[in-house]
Amino acid sequence: MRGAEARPRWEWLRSQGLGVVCGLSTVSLLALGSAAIVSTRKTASKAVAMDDLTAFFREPSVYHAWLYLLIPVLALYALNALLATWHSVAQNIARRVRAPSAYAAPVMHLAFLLALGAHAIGGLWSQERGMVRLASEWRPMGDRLEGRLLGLELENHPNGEVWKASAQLELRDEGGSTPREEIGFNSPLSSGLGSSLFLLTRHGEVPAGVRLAIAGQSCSAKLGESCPAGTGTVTVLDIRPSGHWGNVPVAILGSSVGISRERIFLLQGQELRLESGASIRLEEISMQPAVLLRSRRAPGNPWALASALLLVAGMAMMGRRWL
Amino acid sequence: MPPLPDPALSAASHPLLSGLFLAAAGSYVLALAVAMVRPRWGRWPLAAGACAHLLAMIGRGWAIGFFPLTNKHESFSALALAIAATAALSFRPRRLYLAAMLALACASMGAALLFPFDLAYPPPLMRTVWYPLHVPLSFLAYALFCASAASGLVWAQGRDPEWLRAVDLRALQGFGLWSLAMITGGVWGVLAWGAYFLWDPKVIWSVILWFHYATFIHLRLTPSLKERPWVRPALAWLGLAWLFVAYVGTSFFLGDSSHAF
Repeated sequence: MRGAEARPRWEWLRSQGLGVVCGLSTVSLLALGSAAIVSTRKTASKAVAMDDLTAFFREPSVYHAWLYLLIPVLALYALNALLATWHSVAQNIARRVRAPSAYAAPVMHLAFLLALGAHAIGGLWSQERGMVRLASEWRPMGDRLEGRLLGLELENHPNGEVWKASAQLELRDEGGSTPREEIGFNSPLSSGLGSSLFLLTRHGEVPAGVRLAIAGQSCSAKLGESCPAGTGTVTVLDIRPSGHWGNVPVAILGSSVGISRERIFLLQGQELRLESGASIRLEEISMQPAVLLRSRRAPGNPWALASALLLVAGMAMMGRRWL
Repeated sequence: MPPLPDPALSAASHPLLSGLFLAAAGSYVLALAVAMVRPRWGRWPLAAGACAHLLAMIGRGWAIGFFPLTNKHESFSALALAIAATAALSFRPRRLYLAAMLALACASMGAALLFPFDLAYPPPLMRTVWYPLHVPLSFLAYALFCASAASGLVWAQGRDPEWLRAVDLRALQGFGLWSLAMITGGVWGVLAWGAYFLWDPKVIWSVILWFHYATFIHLRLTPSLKERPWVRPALAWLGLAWLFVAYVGTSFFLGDSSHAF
C-alpha cells in the first residue's frame, strides 16, 4: 500500500494506456490530415510538398488544424515512450537482466524517438535548391561546386523504353579538385549521409552550337561565341531547337557593327541580310547530351537512417518472440 | 513520343503464364468451396493454386527480366499470392478463418482479372534492389494483417484464447515486416526523391498503418485493457480497413499519389 502511495504523480506519463491513446490519436489525426491535404491540394495545401512542415505554418489554415493538434500529441507520445523506456531499462539493469530480447523494445522505442526527430529536422530544414542543367560546359551547382557532363549512357528495353540512364560528371570546388562521379536514377550524388543530394530528374539533348553561313562563308559557334560578319560580328545569344516557333529551329543572334546593335531571330534555312550588308543563313543546330539535376538539402536523412538501423537492431534482438 | 506497343509484352504472346494465373484463380475458388465443406481438405487446392501462381509470377519476371510488379494486374495478383501463401503456410483447418482468407485472396484475384494481363517493362525509377525488397515485404505484411483480422473473426465466434494469440502473433509479425517495408521504402525514397517521407496519400497511409499496428502490439500489455480482449480483434478489423485505404484507396480514390501503383 505504501509502495502505491509512493508512486510519483507523473507516472501516468509513462503508462501503456497513454501510449495507446497517443497512438490511436496519431492514426486518427493523420487519416484526417490525408483527407484534408487531398481536398485542399489547390487551395490551403498548395504549398505543402515533399516532407516540408513549414508550409503548414507560413499560411495557417483551419484545414491544417489536424497538424497543429498532431504536434502536441506526438510530443506527448515521445515523452511517454522516453519515460517508459527509461523505466524499463532501469528495471532491467536493477534486476541484472542480460537477455538481449529484454532490451529489444527499448531499442525500438529509441528508434521511434529518433525517427520523430528526423521528421522534425527534415520537415523544418529540408530545402529544394532548384534545378541544375549540366552539359559539356562548366556550370555552378551551388555550395561553391561546379560540374559538367562528361558522358551519358542509356540502356534501353527491347521496345526502346529507357531502362537505365547513367551520367558521368566532373566536379570541381574552390580547391580545384576534380572528382568524377556517376549519377543515375536511384543513384543520386550524395554527401553527408544523404543530407545533400543532386537527383537525376531528366536527361536528353540541348543545343550545343550553330553553323552559320555568313556571306557564303561557313562559321561554327557555340552559345556566347561570335562569328565575323563583314565589318561587324554576330554573337550566338540563344538557340531554340524544334519545339519552339512552330517546330522550326531558331537561333537568336546579336549582330553588331560599330556601335550599332541588332537582335536577329533566324529560322533554320532562312536567309537574312545583316545591317553590314552580308547575308546570313542558319545551316544547322548541333546538339549535345545534357542532364537536369534537382538539388536538395535534406538534413533529416542521416537521422532517419540511424533510426532505421536502430529499429532493425531492436527487431533482431526480439529473436524468437516473432514466432 | 510514347513507344509503340511491343508484341512481346502482349498477354497473347504468353498463353502459359495467363493459363497458370487462371489455374491459380480456379484453385483458390475451389479451395474456398472445399474449405466450406471440409476445411482440412482445402489445403491442397490452396497450395496447388499458390504454386501455379508463383510459377506464373516467376514467368512474368523472366519475360521482362525484372521483378514482375509493374502494373495493376500484377499488383493485385501479388497481393492474392501473398494472402494465399500465408494461408497455406500457416494453415489452420477452421472454416471461418479459411473462408475469410480465401475470400480476400479471391477478391484480389478478381481485381487482377479486371486489368489487362499484358506485361510492361519497368520504368528506370524501379531499377533498384530496394524495389524487390520493399514490395514483397509490404505484401507479406498485408497478408499477415489479413490473417490477424481473420483470426479475430474466429475468436469472436468462440472466444477461444488460442485464436486471440493468433490475432496478436500475426499482427506482430505483420508489424515487423511492415517496419522493414517502411525502411526499405524509405531508403528507396531517399535515392529516388531525396526524401524518405512525402506528404503524399500513399506514404501518409503507410505511416498510419505503422502507427495503428505499433499501437496494436501494445494493447496486450495495457493493464486497463486486460479485461477487454475484444479490443484486439476489433482493432485487427479496423487495421484491415486501414490496409485497404492504404493499398487501394490511395491509388484510386485519394487524389494524385506519386506513389500510386
